[in-house]
Amino acid sequence: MTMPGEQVREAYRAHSGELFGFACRSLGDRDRAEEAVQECFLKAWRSRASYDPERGSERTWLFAILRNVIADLGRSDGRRPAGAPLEESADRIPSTDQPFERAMLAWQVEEALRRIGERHRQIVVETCLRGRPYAEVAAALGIPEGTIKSRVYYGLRAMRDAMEELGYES
Amino acid sequence: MSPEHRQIRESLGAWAVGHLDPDEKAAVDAHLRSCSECREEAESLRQAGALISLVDPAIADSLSEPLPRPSPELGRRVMAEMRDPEPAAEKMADGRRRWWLALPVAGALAAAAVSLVLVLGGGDGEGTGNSGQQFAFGSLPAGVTITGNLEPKATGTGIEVRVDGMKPGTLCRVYVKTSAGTLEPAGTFRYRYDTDEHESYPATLSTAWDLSEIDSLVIRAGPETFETGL
Repeated sequence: MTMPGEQVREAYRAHSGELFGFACRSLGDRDRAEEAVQECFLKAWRSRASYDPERGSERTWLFAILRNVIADLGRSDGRRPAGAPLEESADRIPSTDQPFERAMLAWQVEEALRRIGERHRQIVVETCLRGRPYAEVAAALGIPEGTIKSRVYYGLRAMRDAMEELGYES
Repeated sequence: MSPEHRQIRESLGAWAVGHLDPDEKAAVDAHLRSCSECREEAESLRQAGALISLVDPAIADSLSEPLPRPSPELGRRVMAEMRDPEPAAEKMADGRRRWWLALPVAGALAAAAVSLVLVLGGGDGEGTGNSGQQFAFGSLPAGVTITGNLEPKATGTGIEVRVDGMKPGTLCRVYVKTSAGTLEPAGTFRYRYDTDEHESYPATLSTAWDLSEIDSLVIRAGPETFETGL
């Protein structure tokens, strides 16, 4: 099981933006986020021979590495970003029972919501995230309440499918 | 799918997140008892809806905005690292260098007058760079070294910096001052060492500027800034 070098480079092009965004959120600093992403891909490059696609997607693998890098950065600063556990294995697939894993899952949900269409995202955000009544949202947008209900349905479906694309397994 | 089935189906989202009034919920519940297809759909939507609670409502507006992007310079640095078949840090793992002196001297660095001595050509035979210009900071406290190598690349200049004896974890930001008078970031690294092997690691950075256009290097180690002309 291995990941060819070209695939690691391609993974940078495919995932660096999302990894950087998560690092920015976790570290609160662009320079340190770039440092974390650089270190993440250096570790990925070094350990590409141990990558096992049966254990998870390359995205999941990279996030697991990034999690450890951010934890190391927090440790060297004397603090732990989002309660990060300090795992030794770079390619361990994360569980979701730790605060840091919850933060990563939340980031995944955000990414899924970014990927669905604006019309559906708007309705899901207003009703499911902000908890606004359907009648209020319908009046504000000038559309029937039944349309709000159907968009909640199609929006949740799209979000569920996006989560699956991102490697989430319920 | 019958119109009634379709209507129930499109209510499953609201059902999944508990937004139906009691009468609507009762109608959907009754349908789910007899329709395994909708039951499965409803369960998957319920799980998806539950995940939304993980998201902070305060960032809801940002979901429509583009994600922050890393700088192109980061991409060049990462690609440069990955072009090397043997990453620079791994080259150090053969035990040839034993740099670790365990001296927390970040404070002492601040007081030190630092000058950069460029050694043109040649080399000490154990660095990771085999061409370009090697440099070494002088006038540092005993046990502290800052050395490196500037190497012309097709895309600019590769910068390898090796630090030893500094407080572990110190964040170092490297800049080049160009002949145009601008200060250009060339990347950051954090002083690291392997506690088992007692080895420090070099940082491999890069800048898009040609070596001939670089007038000086600036290194900010923690709160301190060091600069020297080339």
